[in-house]
Amino acid sequence: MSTSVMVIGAGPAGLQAASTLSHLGFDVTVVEQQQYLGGAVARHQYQVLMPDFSSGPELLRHLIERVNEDPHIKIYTGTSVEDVSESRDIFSITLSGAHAETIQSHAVVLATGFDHFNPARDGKYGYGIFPDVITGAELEEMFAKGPIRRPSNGEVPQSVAFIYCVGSRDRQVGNTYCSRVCCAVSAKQSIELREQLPKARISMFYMDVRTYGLWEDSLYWRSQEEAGVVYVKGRIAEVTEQHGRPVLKGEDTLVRGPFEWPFDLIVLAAGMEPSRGTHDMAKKFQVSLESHGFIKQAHTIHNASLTDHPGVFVAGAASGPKAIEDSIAEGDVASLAVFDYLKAKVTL
Amino acid sequence: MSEEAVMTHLRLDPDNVGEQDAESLLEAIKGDVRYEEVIHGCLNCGVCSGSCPSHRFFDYSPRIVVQTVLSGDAQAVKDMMDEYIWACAQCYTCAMRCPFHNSPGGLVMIMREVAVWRGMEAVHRLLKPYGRVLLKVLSIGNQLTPDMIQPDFFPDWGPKIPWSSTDLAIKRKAIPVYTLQVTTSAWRVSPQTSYELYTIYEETGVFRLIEQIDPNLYEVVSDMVEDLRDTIESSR
Repeated sequence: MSTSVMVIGAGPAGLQAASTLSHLGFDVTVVEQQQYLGGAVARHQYQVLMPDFSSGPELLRHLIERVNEDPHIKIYTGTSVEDVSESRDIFSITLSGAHAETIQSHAVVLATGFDHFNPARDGKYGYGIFPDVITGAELEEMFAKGPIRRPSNGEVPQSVAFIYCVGSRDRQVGNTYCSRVCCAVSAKQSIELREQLPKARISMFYMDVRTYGLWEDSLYWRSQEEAGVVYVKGRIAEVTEQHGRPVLKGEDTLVRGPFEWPFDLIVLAAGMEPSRGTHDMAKKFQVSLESHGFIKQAHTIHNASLTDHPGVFVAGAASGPKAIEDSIAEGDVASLAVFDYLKAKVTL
Repeated sequence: MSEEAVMTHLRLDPDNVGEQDAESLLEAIKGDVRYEEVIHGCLNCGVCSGSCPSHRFFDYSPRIVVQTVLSGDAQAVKDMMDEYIWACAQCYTCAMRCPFHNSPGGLVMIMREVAVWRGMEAVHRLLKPYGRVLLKVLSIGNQLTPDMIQPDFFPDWGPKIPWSSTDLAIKRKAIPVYTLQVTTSAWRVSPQTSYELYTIYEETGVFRLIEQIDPNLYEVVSDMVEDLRDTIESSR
């Protein structure tokens, strides 16, 4: 019997893990509940990626072609994990959907990713009420589909505001963690917007700007220096509407005090939450969650992919908010950890 | 219950009335049992001030109140207790929005209570207009009564609200609840209820406090109490 590994989730982390596991000599089955591959990158049609402004479609092509052309990788889209049992370190995994069968796996990589926070859960932003209030992911879809226009009337926006930390760092909505990438993604989006809207006022409303490491000058500074984007320190208290335009209410904590400020378009930098699939798979494979609901890394520093259940590994945003580059790196980390785990058990 | 025990329950330490040393005021604020509930930390995000109706119109910022208390600058805190914090409308929108689950409004409440217990000068000055509210609370347990809602007392009324202050008796009659068909109290209050209220105020030290803060008001109140007690007790 060959040694088989199941990868659950076909976003950047899962696709990378599948390819690397195959290179290491395993037979791989990738199970993806959606009909498409590529996870959030595909769902929101990311065209330009943070941090390096490289092409989203090109990344997908690279990740997907590798798994499609690999005879040792089976791709099961439209398929979900129904039931899991375990006997003598072998997982017996029953699938439902397009490939309803039972598969024996020696190890499992959970790459079940994240969901964006739904801003309708926090009423103060008026999301779902005012059509010109959209999420960052919806802005990405706008970039993909055509020119940037106000959803309410199809006009070119003369002013755009980004609101940071929507659904992140906020006890009121139950998410006390930072989602890590939204600051830098918003800065990237503001630079892209500037190309389309040379005269628009673009303002960022933040409580901290967390453009970690090398993203500081390449995104945060660049958005100011090259794109003329203005940063205002103040968390938005509420969004209302006047004369058909959304109005931001808040305090400019550093300079001007209280404001009520109309904008043509509002972009909510909605944070990341553990996906439903992450919760479901954690339960089915009996791995613990950490306090925020992501899959708990058993040894955060030793190895990012170890869970507290031997034979079950994690990669990507299933274990916490993460950039695409880190998710792909973790796909490799998990593959090596699987190799390490299985080499002692079976002859490759 | 001994007098001392009653005092302790109300956090009124008689030795400290009039004690207005800045450090001891800050100590009293931070020593309040509610302090840990109202302040956890502060990111200086400004969502409290952005939400605050007073911040929009006055020199008042709940964020600055929280930051000043957290800074430990006792003199600055004391200065704030003189006038600054009294612009808070106690609407608690700040508490609803704070990402830390702080309650700046709750902190202001603690600071105001300390200012009252310590008998700060600002309290006499700023709470004077509330004398008539206090009188209602003390006499019948209501804060506001229909006949108090008059344009004279609400200079910031909009154009339509004054209508509600006219023909009070008839409008109240229209409410199909017998106990609400009155204008001098929010609902009919029986003398027996007032009698019991006075006993509570007396036992808990409220009357003693009023005597210290507003001797004139206390005089009016004690006449009222005496009259009612005579009436009730003689009818037994």
